[in-house]
Amino acid sequence: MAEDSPNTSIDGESLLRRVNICKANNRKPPLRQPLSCVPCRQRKAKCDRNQPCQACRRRLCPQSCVYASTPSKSLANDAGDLRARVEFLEQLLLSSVQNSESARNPSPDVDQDHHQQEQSPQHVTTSAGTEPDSLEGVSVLDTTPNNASYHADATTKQIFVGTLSVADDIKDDSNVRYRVEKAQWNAVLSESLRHHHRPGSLLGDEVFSTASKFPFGIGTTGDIDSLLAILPPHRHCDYLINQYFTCFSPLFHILHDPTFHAEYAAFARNPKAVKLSWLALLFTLLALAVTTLDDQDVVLLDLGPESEGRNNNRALASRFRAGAMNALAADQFLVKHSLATLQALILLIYAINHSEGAAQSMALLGMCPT
Amino acid sequence: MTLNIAITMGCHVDPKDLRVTHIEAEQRRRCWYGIVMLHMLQIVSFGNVDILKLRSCDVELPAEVNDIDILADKILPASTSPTQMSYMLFKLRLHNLAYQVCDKLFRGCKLTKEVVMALDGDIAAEQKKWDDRYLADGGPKMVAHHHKAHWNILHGYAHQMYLLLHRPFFHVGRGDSWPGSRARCVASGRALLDIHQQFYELPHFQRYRWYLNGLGSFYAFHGAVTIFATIFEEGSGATRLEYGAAFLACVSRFENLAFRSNICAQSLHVLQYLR
Repeated sequence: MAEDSPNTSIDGESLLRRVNICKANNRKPPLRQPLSCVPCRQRKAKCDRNQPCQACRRRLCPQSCVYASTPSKSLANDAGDLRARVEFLEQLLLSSVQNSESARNPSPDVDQDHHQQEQSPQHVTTSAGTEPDSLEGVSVLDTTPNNASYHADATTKQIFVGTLSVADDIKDDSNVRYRVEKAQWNAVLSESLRHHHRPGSLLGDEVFSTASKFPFGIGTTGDIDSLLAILPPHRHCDYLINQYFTCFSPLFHILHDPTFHAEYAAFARNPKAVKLSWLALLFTLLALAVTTLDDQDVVLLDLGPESEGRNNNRALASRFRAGAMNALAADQFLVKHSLATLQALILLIYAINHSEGAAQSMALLGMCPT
Repeated sequence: MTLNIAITMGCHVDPKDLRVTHIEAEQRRRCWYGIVMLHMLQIVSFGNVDILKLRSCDVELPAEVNDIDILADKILPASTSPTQMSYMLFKLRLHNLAYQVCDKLFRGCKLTKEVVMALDGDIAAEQKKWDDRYLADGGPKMVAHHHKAHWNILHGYAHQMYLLLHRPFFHVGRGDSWPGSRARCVASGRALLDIHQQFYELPHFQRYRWYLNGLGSFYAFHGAVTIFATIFEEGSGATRLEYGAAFLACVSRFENLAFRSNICAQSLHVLQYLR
């Protein structure tokens, strides 16, 4: 019987694995699809596998030339499921081997690996600097088994374990990220990510909607009037700016407050004379300020596009960040820049870290030239 | 991109060599060190940036004064009370320490007892500086609520670094471990849960509640997992009860914060799994 004696064909090993997994799961092993028709198989005759085959036509019984029904679709499904299970089990096995090796032969690196596994689900353990940061970049990614995995080798000092993931659910773009993770937490974390994609989560759309055109596409919001139209009413602006200076300014003190206040007063007197780079700065401060408002804040309820307070926060922050980006693009900040341009960019990166995670601001920050 | 713009504008050169007012000079220095801090965030989060060139630029640190003390032609003397620049300057120093800690931890270097103790001492020294600056007369009274918030945030970062540094030696019995490591882990874990609770419950921290949507909860999660490991290994009743209560209270706060905070939503699943 096929399930007792391993097939010695090329596929024998994978079949054996499939069989063993099915046995472990108390399922019938998948049978190979018979290729010859039923009469030829009964006669143990050669079959050319046509419909009807030549042998049955010669025997003048083409109507009996039938082939055994193969549940090809469900087999493919089974194969897909099995593949996923095998990959998951392989990863678990690899991490168990690493753990048992470290238990037998402790070294600082592998032991630290062990502790990381125990005490932290993520290799990325500290996000320093701007508050609050987040791991939001992680949850956009696809965790289906077609990732390439790079596993730590227990015999080397390399302790990074990461995967390359591609978000293929964005219809006209793909987003490649190197993500660091520990294999044995995959089951828990992928469950967490599934839970996390809840309806109404702004996360995936938000990341791409604010960043996708910047700094090249200006859209229809490139002129002063349309940019000014995005600003909240003057009294709300005052309130939000005050919130910014109370809550955020001391934590990341880039501006010279009296200078900004003088410029703000001048802007209030003559909004249309505003410099685009300064307007970008204003938008950035507003984007930061709205994140400090709680759900019941009257200003939040007034300004928000959503009737329910909770999503207003993020929607507004996103809208103001987009305003800042549009103002910078309209100002052609890549070719001409002032101190306000730089301040707007720095605080914009801080705001993106705050809401979308540091991974999203890396390109805007710029790599240090070597 | 931003870094290149800063260099194009000459922010990598100390403004004393440029003909600008003190007000503009301080703004330039703040921009430069703001960029340095953002780079350091990238390094400790992702380890993918070379910062050596950045640190070799000799731009002076921004002055530790309030903005009104900066005039066009001079800067008034610094005070010993907390200023608008205090927090950022302390944070910059902490980032330097975090960079050293992460460099040792994540580049496969052998973490010896001496290295751990040296870095531990450096973090403790920084904490002492914050207490000297923020606490009136060395006591627990803060001058203002926002100073208490800043002080808590700084301590949160310090405890996170203690946990990173000491957790390879959490399990007692390793030949080269420092016996104080486990105690340090437990104390820091507990402190992080306390800080999280303060920001969540105290009315005068309400305008800082956003801190719990991100880093605050990230650190608290680390603390909660450490406390869980402690409960798991220690059997004694009173400690187990106290830590268990703190852990469960933290999970409850995360449940309430999960809608607003992606970090809480993601880590909640892990915490509930542990629970």
